[in-house]
Amino acid sequence: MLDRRLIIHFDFGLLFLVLLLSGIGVGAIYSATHFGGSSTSMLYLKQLYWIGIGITGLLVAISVHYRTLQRYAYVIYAVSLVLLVIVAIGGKVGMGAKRWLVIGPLTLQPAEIVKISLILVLSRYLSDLQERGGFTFRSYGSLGLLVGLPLTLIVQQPDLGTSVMILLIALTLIFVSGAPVRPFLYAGIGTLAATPFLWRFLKAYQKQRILVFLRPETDPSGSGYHIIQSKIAIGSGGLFGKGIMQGTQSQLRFLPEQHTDFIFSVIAEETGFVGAVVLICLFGYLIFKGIDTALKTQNGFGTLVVAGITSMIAFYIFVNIGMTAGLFPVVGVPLPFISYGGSSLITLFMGVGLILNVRMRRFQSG
Amino acid sequence: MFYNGNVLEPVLHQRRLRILSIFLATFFFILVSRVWYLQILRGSFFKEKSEKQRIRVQRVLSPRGEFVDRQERTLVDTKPGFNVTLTLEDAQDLDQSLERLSQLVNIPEVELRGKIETARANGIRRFQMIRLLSNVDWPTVALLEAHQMDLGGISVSPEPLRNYRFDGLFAHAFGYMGEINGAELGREAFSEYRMGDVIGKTGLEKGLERYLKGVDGSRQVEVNSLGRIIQEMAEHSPVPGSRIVLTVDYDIQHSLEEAFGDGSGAGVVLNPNTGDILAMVSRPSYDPNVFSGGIPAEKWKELTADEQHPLTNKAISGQYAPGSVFKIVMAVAALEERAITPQELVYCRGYTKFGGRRFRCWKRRGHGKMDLHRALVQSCDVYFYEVGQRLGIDKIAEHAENLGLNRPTGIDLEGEKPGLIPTRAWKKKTRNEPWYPGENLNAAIGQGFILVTPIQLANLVAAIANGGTVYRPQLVKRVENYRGEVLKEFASEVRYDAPLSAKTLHLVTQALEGVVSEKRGTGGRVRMKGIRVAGKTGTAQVVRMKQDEEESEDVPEKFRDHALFAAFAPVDDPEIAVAIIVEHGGHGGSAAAPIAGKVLERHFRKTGRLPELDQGKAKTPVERAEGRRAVMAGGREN
Repeated sequence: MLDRRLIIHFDFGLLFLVLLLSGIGVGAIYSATHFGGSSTSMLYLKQLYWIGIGITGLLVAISVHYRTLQRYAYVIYAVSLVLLVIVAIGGKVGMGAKRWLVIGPLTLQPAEIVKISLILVLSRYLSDLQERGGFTFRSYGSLGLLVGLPLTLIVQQPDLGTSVMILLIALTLIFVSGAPVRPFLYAGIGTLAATPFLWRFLKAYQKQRILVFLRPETDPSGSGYHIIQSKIAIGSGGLFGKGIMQGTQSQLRFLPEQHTDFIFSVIAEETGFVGAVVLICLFGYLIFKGIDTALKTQNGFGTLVVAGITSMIAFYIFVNIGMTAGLFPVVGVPLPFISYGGSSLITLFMGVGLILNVRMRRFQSG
Repeated sequence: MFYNGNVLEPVLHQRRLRILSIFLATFFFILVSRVWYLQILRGSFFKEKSEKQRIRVQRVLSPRGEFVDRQERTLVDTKPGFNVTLTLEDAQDLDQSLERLSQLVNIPEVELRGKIETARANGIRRFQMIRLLSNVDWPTVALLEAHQMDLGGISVSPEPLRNYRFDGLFAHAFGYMGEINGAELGREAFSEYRMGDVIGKTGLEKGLERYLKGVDGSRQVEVNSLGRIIQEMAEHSPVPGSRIVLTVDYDIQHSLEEAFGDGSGAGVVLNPNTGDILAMVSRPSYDPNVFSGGIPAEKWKELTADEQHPLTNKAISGQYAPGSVFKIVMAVAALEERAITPQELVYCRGYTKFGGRRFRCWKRRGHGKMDLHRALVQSCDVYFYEVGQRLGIDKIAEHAENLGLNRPTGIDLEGEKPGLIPTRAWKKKTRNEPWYPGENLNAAIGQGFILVTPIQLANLVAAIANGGTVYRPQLVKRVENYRGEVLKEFASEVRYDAPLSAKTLHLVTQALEGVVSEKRGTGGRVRMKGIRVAGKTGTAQVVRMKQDEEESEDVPEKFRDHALFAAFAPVDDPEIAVAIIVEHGGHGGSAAAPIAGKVLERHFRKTGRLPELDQGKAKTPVERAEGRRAVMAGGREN
């Protein structure tokens, strides 16, 4: 039975915010894939369908008490790892990478599920440390194993964007849990020093992307072209933009992924600085709500889950917009709730479901 | 410092969360600053950049698939053509551009503006091309290039044009191309198409559109402020359309076209063992090339207003009374139903009296004593009047249908007509009248209500040739993609098997051979040395004549009889079947049979059963026969 208090504490504002962002996404996808009267793409309708599934996922994530998720965190983690292994063995290859798992009509990207399951398992492990007496030397080994297993599998897919995201999320969770900072600082410096060595493990297109990011002008017709065109699109939007569905850069299909990774360029070009800032503010408010929830939650596991998901969303926003605005290399990360794509949308909705879950049960003890 | 105690004390992780939120707030601040930098500080710079060096994505149309004949000789391909297009965004001074273009190509400005309006109404975007003129010639291209400074936004763009190498050859089967219309654009099958695209409108071009089309490619180009291409950036190559291998044999088709000359009518040549169409002609024809670059209005008017219907494929949708060719069906029905024995004699005195009316034989003096063989050979009407009375229309119809009449043959072309074989029930239903016994007599000589299409006739003789199997006539052997991989193969398809006894087949075939080979036979003009040909002539009345009126050469052409001839060869092992109808040609034996003769001759020359023709010199048996017959014109057969 649903507790009446749960409804009182349910944050309808947060739910509305997420739906509003998704709505903006559908509009932007429509604009980005609409070319002339007779050739309207149906992608925006498909996105609506994904949103429907996402809402279902959100409701599922709300209905289970987060303490139950805490109990089964290791099981969920194990299942998601198995999915990753299956993908590594027999997944569908798309754009030079093995990322997709086809189950009947559904195409799953297990790397997306891993983001949630990793947040759950790390939150469980880190909150358990409290009872076991804090960080010991062994804790570092366990954490390394928990993060390293999925990370290795995703790196070899290869999915550079998701790998970086997972690493960032894990570090954030460890940081928030109160772990000592210095060992991680040393590790970070060490990694930087080893970069030339790690470079050899990157695939040619990944090296290319990073190199081109550093000097886009050297390759205006190749990968650097994306960054240049995206900057022109955003910049030429000016203060008020060129008008919805009037963008000249984005409407010319200058980017192969303009309705996915480069959707922000479309919005910025067509609605200008005003629209871009409104969108960033909406995102900012979403992140604020997340941090607020984490601060107000009494339960260690709940706090960490919310902090993990919130930072995941924040990193996505930052990396994606940063990429389209020429701050980061092109790493294939979607803009949360806006970019076209089913897997990431479902993950995000479930993530927000978990925030809502923790938020409405934050006053319940035990 | 290292923590070894209670790591999750609330104070500590609240502090850590605050640090995190400061980090995140910084992120957002960086994003807003960056966007502010790009859009506000450098906004005008990027705006200028987006206007100056514009990137366009142009479609690269896929070359349409070719049609080749059964020996893979190309009949239809594509050739480069040029369109004049307008991109609104590049036209700084639209009025000036249009005025100048109008002067240069001598087309009224209103017409050009009309095209722009239509495109706008269809939701064209500013950076998309609007086609103003199609298939312009080289001098025009050069002229426009020379004046390009006055023609901002207007450019010449290449587009592959459909090229029918042999003009009107096989035109009705190919069909023609045309611009897609609004209704078609709305259909699921055309979801990938855009306004202004050219699609197959009729015939095989239409039926095989999805194979022929291919997949368009795209090309990223950088254009300057006038819309001229500065540089190409990337290209996705188009996937060419699939190649269609037809069943048609160019040599046979060519000989059939040639033999028809200026006559109007239709002809079909089949392989009786597979149903493969070797040739198909409908006359008068048209040149599908004139449609390829958009047909001029007056040309279209001319074609549609023509009384002889050049756009109609008469081979499948022309319905004609079969005349005496129908006697093949009558003979089959009579023998199968045992309505008459092969030996029984019927006396022909030139007419039969029935129900107070005289039904004439074409030979007014009468044929005398006729058995089945002689009656077929000499096409005696009186004999078949008798057979018709004995059988009755319903039995006649039953056997006619077994041989593929009264229903479409199922050829893969639109617009096929079913023909008509009447029955009692049909007449009651459609006319609410009983069947009069006298109508059996009309039916017996292929007149009255009976209608057949040329392809049905070809199928009918093919069925006699192969022992009673009615195949679905086929135009396409297989479809191959541009790499030469076979996408689809069309096996021959049996539609019905007429239950004919060997004896019936033997008797009828023997008689049909007599039509050609015997002295009194009506089809002597296809006689060939060393090859046994079986056939049947027919002459179908166009207007009903008064009982005693004699038809003559001074009857206006459109009231003259249709001439028919259907044949197959060789009798011992048939490999080719032909049906010819010459509209208002007069007599089957003199107007239609020679056409069939030329086709058969070409076929047997090709297969080596007749000697190859020495250019011009050696006269073939057919040609010699023609010379002979020309002298003795005048005898009329039915």
